[in-house]
This record gives sequence, structure tokens and C-alpha cells, in this order.
Amino acid sequence: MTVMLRVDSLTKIYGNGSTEAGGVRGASFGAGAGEFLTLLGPSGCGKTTSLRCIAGLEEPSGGEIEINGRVVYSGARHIRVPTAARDVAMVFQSYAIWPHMTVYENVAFPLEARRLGNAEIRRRVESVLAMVGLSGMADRPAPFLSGGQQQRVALARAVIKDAPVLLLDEPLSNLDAKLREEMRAELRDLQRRIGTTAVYVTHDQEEALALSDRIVIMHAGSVVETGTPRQLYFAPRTSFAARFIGQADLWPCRIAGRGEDVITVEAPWGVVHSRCFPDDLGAALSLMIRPEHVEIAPATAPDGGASLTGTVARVTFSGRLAEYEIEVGGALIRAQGTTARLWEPGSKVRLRLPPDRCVIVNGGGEA
Amino acid sequence: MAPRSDGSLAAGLAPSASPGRRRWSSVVRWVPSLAIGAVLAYLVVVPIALMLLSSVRPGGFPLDPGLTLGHYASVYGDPGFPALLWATVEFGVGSSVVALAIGLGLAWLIERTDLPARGVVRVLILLPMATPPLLMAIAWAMLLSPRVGFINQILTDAFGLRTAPFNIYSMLGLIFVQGLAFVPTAYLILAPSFRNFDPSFEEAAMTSGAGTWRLIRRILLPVLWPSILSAAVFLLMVSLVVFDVPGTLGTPAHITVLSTRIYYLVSDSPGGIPLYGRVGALAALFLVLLLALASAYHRLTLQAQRYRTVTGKAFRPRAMRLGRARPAAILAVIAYFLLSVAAPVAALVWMSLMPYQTRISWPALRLATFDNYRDLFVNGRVVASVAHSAAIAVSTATAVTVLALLVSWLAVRLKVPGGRVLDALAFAPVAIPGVMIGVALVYVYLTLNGIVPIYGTIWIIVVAYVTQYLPFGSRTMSGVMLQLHPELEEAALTSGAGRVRILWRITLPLMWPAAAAVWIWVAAHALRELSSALMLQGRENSVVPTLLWDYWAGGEPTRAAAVGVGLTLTLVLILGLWQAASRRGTKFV
Repeated sequence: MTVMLRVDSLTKIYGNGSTEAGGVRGASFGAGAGEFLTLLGPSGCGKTTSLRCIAGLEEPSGGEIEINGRVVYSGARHIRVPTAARDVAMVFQSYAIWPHMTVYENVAFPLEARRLGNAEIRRRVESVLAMVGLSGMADRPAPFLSGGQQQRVALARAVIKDAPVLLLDEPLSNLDAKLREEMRAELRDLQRRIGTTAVYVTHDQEEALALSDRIVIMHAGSVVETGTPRQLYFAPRTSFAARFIGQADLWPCRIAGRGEDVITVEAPWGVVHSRCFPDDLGAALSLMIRPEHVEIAPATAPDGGASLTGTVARVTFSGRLAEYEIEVGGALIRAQGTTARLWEPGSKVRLRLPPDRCVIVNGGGEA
Repeated sequence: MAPRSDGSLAAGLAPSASPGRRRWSSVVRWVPSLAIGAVLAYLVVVPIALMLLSSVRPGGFPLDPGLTLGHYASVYGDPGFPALLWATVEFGVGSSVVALAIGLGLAWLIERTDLPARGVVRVLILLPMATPPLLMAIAWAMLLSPRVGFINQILTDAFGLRTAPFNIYSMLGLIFVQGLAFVPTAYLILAPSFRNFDPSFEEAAMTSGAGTWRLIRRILLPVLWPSILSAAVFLLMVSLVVFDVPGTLGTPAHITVLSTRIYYLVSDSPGGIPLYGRVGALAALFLVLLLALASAYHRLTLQAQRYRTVTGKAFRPRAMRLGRARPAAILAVIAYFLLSVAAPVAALVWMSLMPYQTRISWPALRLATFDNYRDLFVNGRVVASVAHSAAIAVSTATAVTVLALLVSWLAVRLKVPGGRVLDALAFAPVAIPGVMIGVALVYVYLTLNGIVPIYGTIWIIVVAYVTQYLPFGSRTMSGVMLQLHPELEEAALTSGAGRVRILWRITLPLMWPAAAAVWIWVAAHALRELSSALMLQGRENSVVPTLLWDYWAGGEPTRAAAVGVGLTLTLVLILGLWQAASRRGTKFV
């Protein structure tokens, strides 16, 4: 896969440079041709700033950015390519549909800026409008569009530029839940079809998991961890990633014994085996267990090695699923099960913790 | 995550730079700031500096030799000075209080109660802006002058009184007319905060068990307090320096305030030569006072914005039921319109139809004639004044609009270095009254007469008006520019458009309605402004307001009335356009 985007030690310092002031401190990541890369993190983590630096809307304080084989920013070499000359197109959070223009004029603008002929512009605008499902809306003034239609216009305006890198800044955050899921699927389809590289910014981990080929998790201006959605969900390497993606209980733990590909760890409530751990084990470690991976069996079931016994302390029933808090050795472990079998508070149960799902991560249990 | 922008348009437009070009480009970045800054400094700083300089010159001209504090001694040591100061403050505070009280009442009635026909009232409330203060003063003199005032005549006849019950030529009369003239301004400042007051604040207070009185005292007033206070300071700032009303009504009553004193020092000085040194010395004190008030105003409006409760969530303001007080409220609103529009305009119309000053009566109606109006079209002086006024209004409005657009684009959007200074310079003239700008420009262009020979022409009036209306223009433009989402321009950048194309295709079309509104507002005000034109009046540059002033002061009230009616009709038309343009102006943001 050819490298389409390379961001190297990107730094952007705001104000006094404190962590609260936001910004980016030394973030590095890249994307291959046709890849869907997501920058994911809590607000203020620097993901939008990174995207704006790639677009050239912010001037970084240092680092290097390369798009499609061309260095567009380099602090050391004093290179700064202005936005208009970069091989990117962008979809904005507010859509930024120009209210004084029609749908057609909005979408045609990037081609107009490139001084293409009218016939050529018309042909391409029509084909792109068809692609995003807006055929027949060309002459509608922009203020007369619904949220979803504005979103499509914004997308069409970015896609028509045919840029190898498409930047998307939380484009779905202004839509209601149902429309968001619809647009999510359409967006992914469209990106596959045109084969562009997408860099997508969001704080919504579910959206990131559903859309991305690869996710870059950011925190306080730095890249915490990069991986495919499955890697980050099943085998995160840091406590931050473990906590940020999906639900997770994290327990401080200590290594009690080490085998070839299995580690025995001591958690506050007992000893378990883990077959999933990072290569670079640090000093402070946590054991991550996702509630949906805890198997609940009757207390009378055979032990089978990797299991603990406990008492159901609390049940939260939500129809399809039931969430449990189970007391084990003085601690409460969260578990989740379908309602095919419902456990009542006070029931004695056996918990199975599969070694593949007992994940050791670097970092303390604190947030 | 909120998009943050540290001048992204500037970042996105800056050219790529090698180390050498980088230093060059930082020089280039200063060019627009310096260019516009020089224009603003010429308009704002130079006049004031020359005025202050002349106040310490024995001869009263900036380039005269020598230094003296004699002018200060003679101005502030004058035994009449305390009385002058007291009259100015009494007039300023009095008229501000009147305007604020009426403005608050109207804002509350229109925005927060179930007053009938609120929509119509809301538009009509701006109508008095079509009758400039000078006309209001003239009209009320026609109505309430002790000898020939229409109302006084009617009342003395009806009740057999020996003396007239009202005398407009008094401090109370001045305060009454000026207060009425200020009401639309007070209303315009206050109404938005009443309108945008989130009803959930009130609802939260009510569900907390608060009664109406507690609600007003603990919730409504504290939240509205900053905007009430800023309206008060703004009115005070203007009322301490206005000329029209004290100039028209104060002289017969022997009431002199600061602005009229300056005018008489220039135009009717005992020795025949304008006492420019003393004028400068007198103006210096008020400059200090006004700058203090202006900075207070600036701080208060910032605070008012912090309290702004617009959430972007659509809500219908809670309308309070007036109940049995409704007829009284309706009567109060009708009374306001009678006093501020109907009565003065009726007096003007009557007077304009009479061949000479005649009391209102049925028999007198037979005298009615259109001669005064016919005169408007054939009298060379009138025609020239109208032409001057039109040329001045168009030039001023265009210059202010372009300058304001540039300042706001540079300061708000491109965030050029020194942008805040530009913004402050463009706003500074708000602290400089028309009379003072007029006087200051006299110094400038008498001094520069060899280089810029515009003294005594209409162009010196244009310069004065541009300075005067720049604060309004730049404030309005900056406000709209701030509301325009920066992503609208960033989207053009990422679409591959260059600087000129973005300005031409995106920024200007989006700013266009606001620019039109500013243009029309400035044109209307340039048509009605009296004080600075009066200070700069020569033989070649009379304008409609100075013509009006001359007719009135020269004892030709019927001609003055005809000119006034024509001016009012023109202004009504222009203000209608302004309303339409303003409404379009908020469409995009």
C-alpha cells in the first residue's frame, strides 16, 4: 500500500502551551492509499487541530506533513504549502454550505476555482450529485436544505475535487441518531467506491469502530495507540485505549507467573490467566475485562480451570440484555448476559474468564 | 469539539516561504495594517492632536509659536464655568433618564407582554429616527413656545389663562425634547436583551416558588442589568455633547451647555475672530470625560455579552399577561407616539402650509398654500443644499462601508498584526462629539490648506461624517463578520480557491446585506447631521440641516417647516429601506 499521508512529530502549541490550552504535541501517524483512518479521542485531545494542520488551516509549530508524496509542511525545512495548493478536500463539522448559492453553485465551486469549462463542470456536478443522491436538487438554494441534505452537499463539494485525501471533521455530529447511522453507511460506501484516502475525526468510538480501517487514539495532544478496530477492542495495549473503546473494568494487577504465551496475574479479587498482553510490559499494569466477555454459569457447574465463584449483587434489566454486578472476593465485577438466562440478586454463580479475553494493558487503573 | 481558529484564513493563505522569503513575508503581513492604520490615524488621531496642540498655543493655531496655559486658565477660571458644567450635566443626565425610562417601558411592553399589535409597534418605534433632533426641537418650539406655541394658544384660549402653561425654552423643555429624541436609541439597545431572555430562567425561578416581584428583583433585573447600564452610559455619552436641541431651544432660554458654548466661541465670538485656543482647552476636558465613559461602555457591553442568553435553541419568549392594566398600557404607547411623532409632524405640516406663522384654527385653513413647497424646487439655495446633502450622503456612506468592511476583515478574519489597534481606532470616534470633530477638522484643514484645499467645501464635511460614523460601521461589520462561521471561508480554501476569489465569491456576498444596511444607515444619518456641518459651514457647502437651521434662526419658520417635512419624508423612505436590508442581513448568519 502506498503512503498517501504522513504526519511526523506534528506539534501545535496554543497560548501558554499548557495541556489545558489544547494543541498537539508530537503526534505521528500515516494513512495508505484508499485507507479509512480515524482520529479518535475526547474533546481537546488535538484531533481536530491535527486535521486542520493537514488541511493547512492552522500553521503547526513544528513537525512535518506529507500528502501524496509531497511535503506540504516542514518546520525544519521552512516549507509551507498554502491550503489551496494541497491535495486535500474537506468536509466541515458545520457543513459550511454557502447560503448565498444554490446546491449546484456550492458543488461546482472547487471546479470553478480550478477554472474548468462550464460544460465540463456541469457534467461532473451532475454525476457527483447523483452519487450522493441529490439528483434534481441542483437549483435549490442552500438555505432550503434539511440537515441530511446539507451533509450530502458538503460531501459532494469535497468529493468533486477528486483530491487523493479527504478530510472529515466530525461530519455526522450534527445529525440525529437515525440519520447518522444511515449516513455512516453511505459515507463508507462512497469512500470505497471512489477509492480516496479518508481521514476522519470523531469523539464517537462506535462511529470509529464501524467506519475505520485503522483508528488513531489521541489524548492530550499525543497519539496513545494506533490499530484496527478489532485490535483496539480485543487487544488494547494501554489503559486509556481500553477505557475509551467499549466498556471495560480495569483492575490493578501483578504478574504472578509467566509461561510461554500465558501470564498468570493476581488481581485484587483472585488469580487469572491472560493470553493477551503487550510485548512491552511496563511497571504499572492493569487487567482489563469487558463485561460482555465474562461468562456466567451456575455455581454447580464444573470448575474447568479459569473460573471464580461469586454472588450476584445487582441486576440491571434492559430487555435484550441484563447487566450484573457480581461480588467476588470483596470486589464487584461487571458482567453482561443475554436474557435467555436471567440471574436474580443473591444467586451464587461461577464466572468464566477466558484467558484470551483477560487483557493486560500498560498503565494504572485510574482514568 | 469546537473548531478553534487562530486566523486560519491567514494561515491558509500565507505563501510558502524559504527562510529569506519568510522574513520578507512577515514584513508583507504588516502592509495592510499599516495602510489602513494610517488612514484611520489621519481621520481620528490627527484632528484630536492638532486640537490639543492649538489649546496650548497663544494664537490658538497648531503651527503658531509659543506655549501657554492661558486658554485653560481663561476657560476654567471663567466665573460662568461652574454654571456651564452644571447645565451640561443636568441636561445630559435628565434627558438620559427620560429616554431610559420610556425606552425600558416600551421594550418591556413590546417584547415581554401581550400588548396588542406588538409587531406594528415594533416597526413604528423607529419612526422618530426620521425626525432628526433639530426638527423635533423646531416642532416643539412651534407647539410649546410661550407666545406663539399652538398648544399654549389652545390652552390659554380654552381656559382663559393669563400666561402660557408651558414653556419649551427652559431646562425642563430641553430635557423633554432631547429625552423623546433618544427613545428609539434606548429601545434599540435594550430590546434585544429583553427579547433574548431565556424563558427557562423565569420558569426555573417560578418552579423554585418565586412570586412575580421576587422574579423581577432577583432574576430579571440582575440579568438585564448590564445592558440597562450600558444603555445608560451610551445615552449619557451622547447627551453630554449633542448640539441640536440645546442649540435650537437653549439660546432663547439663555441655557448654555458645552456644545453650544463651543459653537458660539467659534461663530459668534465677541472679537469676531474664532477663539480656537479656548475651544481646544474646553474640548480637552470633555475628551477626557468621554474617553472614560467610552471605556466604561466598552467594558459594560462585554459584560452584557457574557450574560447573553441566546442558546441557539428556538424558544418563544414568555409573554406576561397585562390583564386589567392593558388599556393603560395601550394608552401609554399611544401617548408616546402622539408626543414623539404625531404632534411634532402635525405642527410642521401645518406651519409648512402657511404663508406666515399662523395659529391653528379653521379660518386659517383658508390661507393654506403650497408656496413653501414650490419654493423648495425653485430656490437656488435649497436646490444647492439638497445636491450637497445628496453628494455628501452617498460619498460618506460609501467610504464608511468600505473602510468598515476592510477593518473588520483585517481585524476579525485575517487577524493581521495590529488588528486590535485598527479596531480600537475605528471605534474611538464614538467618544468624539460632532461639534468637536467639526472644530478639530477646522484646525486640520486650515493648517493643511496648501496641501489639501478642502476647507469650506463639501469634502471637509464628508471627512467629518466618515470619522463620526465609522464606529457604527465597524461595530456592525465586525459583529456580522464574527457571526459568519469561519468554516464558510475555510471550505473555500480547501476547495482550492485563492484569496481574491474567496473575498469576491464568498466573503463579500455574505457580507453584502450587512454592508447595504450600514450604507443606508450612514446615508440617512449624514442627511440629518447638523452639528459638525454647522462648524464647517462655508459659503459653498451648505447642506439641508444647516439650511433648516438658517431658516429657523433667521425667523422663517414656514420655510423651515417645508424643508423639514421634505427631509422627514426622505428619511422615512430611507429608514424603510434600512429595515428591509437589516432583515436580509441576518438571514445568513
